[in-house]
Amino acid sequence: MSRERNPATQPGAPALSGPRISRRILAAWLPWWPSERLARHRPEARSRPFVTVAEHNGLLIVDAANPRATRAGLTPGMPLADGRAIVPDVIVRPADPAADALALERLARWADRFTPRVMPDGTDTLFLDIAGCTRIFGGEEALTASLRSALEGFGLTVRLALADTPGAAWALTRYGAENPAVAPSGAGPDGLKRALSRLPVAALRLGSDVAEALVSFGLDRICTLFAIEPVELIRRFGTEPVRRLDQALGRIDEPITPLRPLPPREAHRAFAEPISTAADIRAAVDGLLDDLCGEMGRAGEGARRLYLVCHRVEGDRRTLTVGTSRPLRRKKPLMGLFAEKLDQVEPGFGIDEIVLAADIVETIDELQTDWSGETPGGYRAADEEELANLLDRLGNRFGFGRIGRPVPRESWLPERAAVREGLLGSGSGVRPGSGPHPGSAAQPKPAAHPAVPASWPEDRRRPLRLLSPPEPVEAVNLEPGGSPFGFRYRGRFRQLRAVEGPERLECEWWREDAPRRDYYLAEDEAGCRYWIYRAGTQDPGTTPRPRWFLHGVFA
Amino acid sequence: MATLPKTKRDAADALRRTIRGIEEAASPEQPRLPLGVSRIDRALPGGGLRLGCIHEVAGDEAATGFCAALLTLALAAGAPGGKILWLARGDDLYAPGLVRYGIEAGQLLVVSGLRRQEDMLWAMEEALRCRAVRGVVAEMGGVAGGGGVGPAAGRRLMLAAEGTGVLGLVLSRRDGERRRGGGGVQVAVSRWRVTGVPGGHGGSDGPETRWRVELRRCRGGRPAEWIVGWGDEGWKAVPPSDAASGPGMRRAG
Repeated sequence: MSRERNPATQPGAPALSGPRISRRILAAWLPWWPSERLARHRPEARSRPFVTVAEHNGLLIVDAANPRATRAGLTPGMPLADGRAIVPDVIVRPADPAADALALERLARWADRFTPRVMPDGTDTLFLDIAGCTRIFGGEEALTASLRSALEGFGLTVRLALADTPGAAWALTRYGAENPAVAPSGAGPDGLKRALSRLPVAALRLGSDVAEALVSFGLDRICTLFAIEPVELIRRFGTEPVRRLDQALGRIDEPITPLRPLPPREAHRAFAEPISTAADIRAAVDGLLDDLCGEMGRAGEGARRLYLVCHRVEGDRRTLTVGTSRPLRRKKPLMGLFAEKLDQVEPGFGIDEIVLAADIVETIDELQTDWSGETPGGYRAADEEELANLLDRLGNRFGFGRIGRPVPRESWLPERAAVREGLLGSGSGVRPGSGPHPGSAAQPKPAAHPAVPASWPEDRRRPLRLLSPPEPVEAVNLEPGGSPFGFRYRGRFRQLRAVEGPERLECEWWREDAPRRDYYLAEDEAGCRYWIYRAGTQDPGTTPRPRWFLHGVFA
Repeated sequence: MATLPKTKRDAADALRRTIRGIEEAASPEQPRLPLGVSRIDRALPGGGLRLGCIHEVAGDEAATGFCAALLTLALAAGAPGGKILWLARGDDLYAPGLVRYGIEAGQLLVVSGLRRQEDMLWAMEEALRCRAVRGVVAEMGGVAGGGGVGPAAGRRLMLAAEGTGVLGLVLSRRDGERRRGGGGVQVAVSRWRVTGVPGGHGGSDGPETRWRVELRRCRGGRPAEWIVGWGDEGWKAVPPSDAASGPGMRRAG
C-alpha cells in the first residue's frame, strides 16, 4: 500500500465517511475486567489466585483469571482440574459474561462525566471521544490521569491510550510501550502509521486465525502490511486486515455511538473536593443553571425537560428530572423546580461532579411587550408566566398527567363529552405569543377548531360530579317506560319527590353495542338531586328488565 | 347572644367593630366580593366575602355548587384571563356541570388525585401565590393525613392568599355533620355549610336547585341561615314562606 488513497473514492467505504476533523479517542482497556469486577467487593479475591470458570462440553474451563492466578500459571482456556493441580487454593467463581457486559456499560455511563461520547467496546474496553472536553479538566493529559486514577480507585487495572482513531487507540492500549500511550494528535494517516508501524498485526483487532495466518506469512508487524497492495491482502486474507488497517489509520470512519443520545444543551461542574451539603449542591445547581440558561439564551431556545445528574464518589449517580409545560430558560423558575427535588439527592460520601442537561429544547418565541410590561390586548404577560410556573411546579410534584383543563368534545355520551387536555402535549403546537392573541395559548387548543364547541351547552343540565363507571341502582317505576318513583342505592331507598325527564341520549352509531339511555334528573325528599338513567328501552312485552344506573350528582 | 339586653348588645357590637378595625389595620385591607344576594351580603362584614383569605365550605354536593358560584364571582371581579384551580381528591368533577354556575371551558384547571393532606396544602399554597389564579378550591374533606387544617398550615395559606388577593376555598365534602374540635380550617375567615333542600315546584327546567346556606362562623359577622335558589339568572334568596311550601310531585315524560 504505497500510494495514498482518497477515502471518498474508495469502493468499500460509504460516500460520506471521510475522516472527521476533530476526534480524539481515549481508549481504556481493562485487561482483568471480569475478575477485577468480581473482586471489587471481595478483597480476598485480589490477594489470592482467583479465576472464573465456564462449562464447555461438561468440562470446567478457566474463563478469566486475576494477575496472581496468571502469574501462578493459571491461564484462560485451561481446564479447572489442571489449574487446581497447580494452585490448590484458587478461588473459583462461575463466569457471567452478561453481568460483565452490563457492568461495563454501567462503567461507561459513569465515564460520561468526562465526555458524553462514551462507548463500551467488546468485553473489556471503553472508548471515550474526548475532543472538546479536555479544557474543563485542564488538558488531555490531566483528563487521562484523572480517568486513570478514578478507575484505579475502583480497583481496576487499566491501560490507556490516546489516538485520533478508535482502532489506533485500541492497538496502543494492548501493545503500546507506555501507559498511557499517546499518538500525536492531528497527524493524519501518516502520523498514525508511524505510531503503529512497530506493533504486531494482532493490534489491528483481527481474529486470531487471521492474525496467525498473517504471521505465518511473515507479516508480523503492522508496517509489513503497508508494503502490500490491498487487493493482494484481500485476496489472501479476506477483507478484515484491510478494513481494520483503514479504521486504525482513520481512512474509514468508525463512529463512537454514545450510550445515551447527546443532549442538545449541557453544562457540568467537577469538584476537587466532593460536596455533600444541601447548600453546596444548591449553589452548584444555581451556577449550572446560569451556564445553561446563558447558552440557551444565545441560541434562542428554552428547555422542556432537564435532568440533573449527580455523580457520587462511590461511582454511582443520582438523577433528577424536571419537565416544563413550555420552553423555559429563566433561571428562577427552573431553580424553583429543582429546589423541590434537591433533597432527593443523597450525597452519600459526596458528589464530585454534577451535570445539568436539557434534553428537550424548543425555540422560544418571545412575547412582545412594550415598556409598560403589557401587551396591546390588555393581557398581562407576567400573569401567563406566573401561571405557567405554577403549573410546572404542580406538574413536577404530582406528575403532569394529573393536571389538565377539561375541554369539550363532540359526543352525546356524558362520560365522553369532556376530556382532560394535558399541559405537555400542547406545548409544541401552540406557544405563548405565536397566536394572534397572546392569551390564546392558554386557551384549550380545540377552541380554534371549528368542529369542537368552545364550551358545553348551558341549556342542558349536567351534574357536578360524574360517577365513573355509573353505579347500578334498583329503581322502581310505576308504569313500564315511565319515570322512576324511587330507587335503592347503597342500601337506602330514596323516594323521589320531583323528576324531570327523560332526556334520551344515544351513543354514536359506531358504538352499536351500547344501548340508548334515558336520563332523569331526580330529586329526593332530602333535597339531593341525582342523575339516573335507564339503559335500553322498556317495552311492556320484553322480558329483560331494564337496568338503572346512577350517573351523577347535582348540587 | 339574643339573651343579652339591648344596651349590652350594643356595647358588644361596638367592641366587635373596634376589634375588627384593629384586625384589619394589621392585615392589608382586601377587597370584598359581593355575593349578589342582598340578604347574605348584608350579613357579611364589608358587604361581601373577603378576598385574599381562606373560607371553608362544608356540606353535600350543594357545597360544590356553592363553591363554583363563588368562583364565578371571583373570576368576574378580576382582570380577564384569570383561571380557577380545582384541587380535586378524586376524578369525579364534571366540567359540563360547572357551566350552569358560570365556569366556562378554558377557565378551569384541575389537579386530580390529591389524596394526601400535605399534597393538598402544598398545592393550595402554591396556587394562592399565583396572581393569574382568581380562585382555588381544595377538596379537603376525607383527605388522608389529618382532619382539618391546623393553625400553622392555615397561617401559611392565609399569608399566601393575602399577598395576591386570591379567593381560597376549602371544600369539605362528606363532612355533612360539623365535627367538634380539630376539624375544619381554623383560620378560615368564614365557615359555611351548604346543603341541598327540596326545590320548589320547579319551572320548565326540572327540579329547582335550592340550597340551605348556613353561615356558621364569620369574622366580624354573625351566624345566619338562608334558603337560596339557583336559576338561570344566578341565585336569589327564597323567602322563608316560599321555602316552606309543601312538596310538589312533578312528573314529566
